[in-house]
Amino acid sequence: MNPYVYLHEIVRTVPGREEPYLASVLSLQHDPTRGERRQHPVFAQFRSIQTSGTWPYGINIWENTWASQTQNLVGQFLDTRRDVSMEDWWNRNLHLRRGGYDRILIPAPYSPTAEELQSRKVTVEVFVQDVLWLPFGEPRRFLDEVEQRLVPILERYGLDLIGAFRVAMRPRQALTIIGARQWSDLAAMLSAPSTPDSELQRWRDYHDGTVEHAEEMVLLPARHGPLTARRPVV
Amino acid sequence: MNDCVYIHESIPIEGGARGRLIELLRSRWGPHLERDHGVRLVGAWATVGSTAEWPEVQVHWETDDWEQFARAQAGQYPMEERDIYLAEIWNQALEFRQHGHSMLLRAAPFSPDLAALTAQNVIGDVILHEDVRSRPGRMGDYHDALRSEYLPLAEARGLRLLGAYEHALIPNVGLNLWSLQGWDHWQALMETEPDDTELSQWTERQGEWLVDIDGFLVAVPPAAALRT
Repeated sequence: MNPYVYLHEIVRTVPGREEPYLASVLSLQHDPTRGERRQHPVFAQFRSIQTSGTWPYGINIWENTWASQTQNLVGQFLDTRRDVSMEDWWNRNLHLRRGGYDRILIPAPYSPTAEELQSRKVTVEVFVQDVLWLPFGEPRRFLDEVEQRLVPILERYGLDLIGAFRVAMRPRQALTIIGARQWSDLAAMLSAPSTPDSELQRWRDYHDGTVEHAEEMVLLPARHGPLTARRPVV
Repeated sequence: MNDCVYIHESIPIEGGARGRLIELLRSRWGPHLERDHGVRLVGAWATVGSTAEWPEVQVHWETDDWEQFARAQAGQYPMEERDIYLAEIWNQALEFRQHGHSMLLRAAPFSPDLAALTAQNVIGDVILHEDVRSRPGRMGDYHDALRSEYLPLAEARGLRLLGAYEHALIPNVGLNLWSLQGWDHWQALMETEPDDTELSQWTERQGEWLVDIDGFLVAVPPAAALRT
């Protein structure tokens, strides 16, 4: 059972400034003036590439509880918890990003936590993120199907489920993230032939017959993000 | 019956000017439109970035009825000829915003007007904003169900209806606004949502009338809202 919720931020970065923006976000974790506000580590960070989906974007995902998520918002809108250092950072980084679109994600029970990914030593070369629009009432069933049908297929191809979520206050949406340790692993699954009775084909039939709209992004791990497979030499 | 006419604006913000635009709306724009044109500012809110688009401001205006709406519009536009103060602040605000999207709305019959909201002290600092798209021709049925089925559920959970609207020009587009009791209330609603069977049943049932509904939070920044 995953007890957390996740703040998912799709950030419209200034073109060419994706990595500086993402590193700047992480720098907040090291700001000594922020005191007890530094405790929430980033769950994942990605950047867009020109392979599939809209670009340029940077993506931050934060692992929170409802209480810590709420306190973050209180810090923005109530003087009692005002976060001056965050405001200062926000205003100093206008040259790196232009805006964004956020969601709060509610994980499926089996969706891994940051600690679980770390303990399994999951590192990723490329991610596929899908934002899905499903019929009313379907997102929970869809996430059950992901666990029962898709996860075994991913394991067969050496891929990792990074997350499977509903979206708070948006009852038709779900979001999934798959990680490949190598591009060739992703290509192997995408190129696999489907025989009519195969598990892969049954998943594709269910997926294609259920999803009404999808926005996909092929993403790289951010250079300093926790899941990157290519740590820079420093 | 609520005969008022509403304009709802979603305004993307340039850089770090969200608070300054809201301050301008509160201190000068709103009082001017009310005094000179009878247009009332229901709310000027910051979109809560963790839940939707950012940086963005949402503005909600009310006029008495279609006659008043027509007088107010004719009195304002073209503003360079008819309202030079409005033209001045509109141009000043280009520093804060370059474009936006406005919706012309009529209220559902059970939707309260600003006078009723004020009398009952309903408007709080945290608002749930819901963009609604109905199946073709089903907005009226949705509003009937919203009033008879969902409103009691919502009020039992502490939400108060600020407004339920349909677009006056575009079919099957609507907007709901709900007042929450504060951040702790929102946290409690989110924590109990997974096990709330009544709400799950309502959510699923909405598919009978709706194509989609997207909810996010908007909030009132502190008084000296010049931060971001």
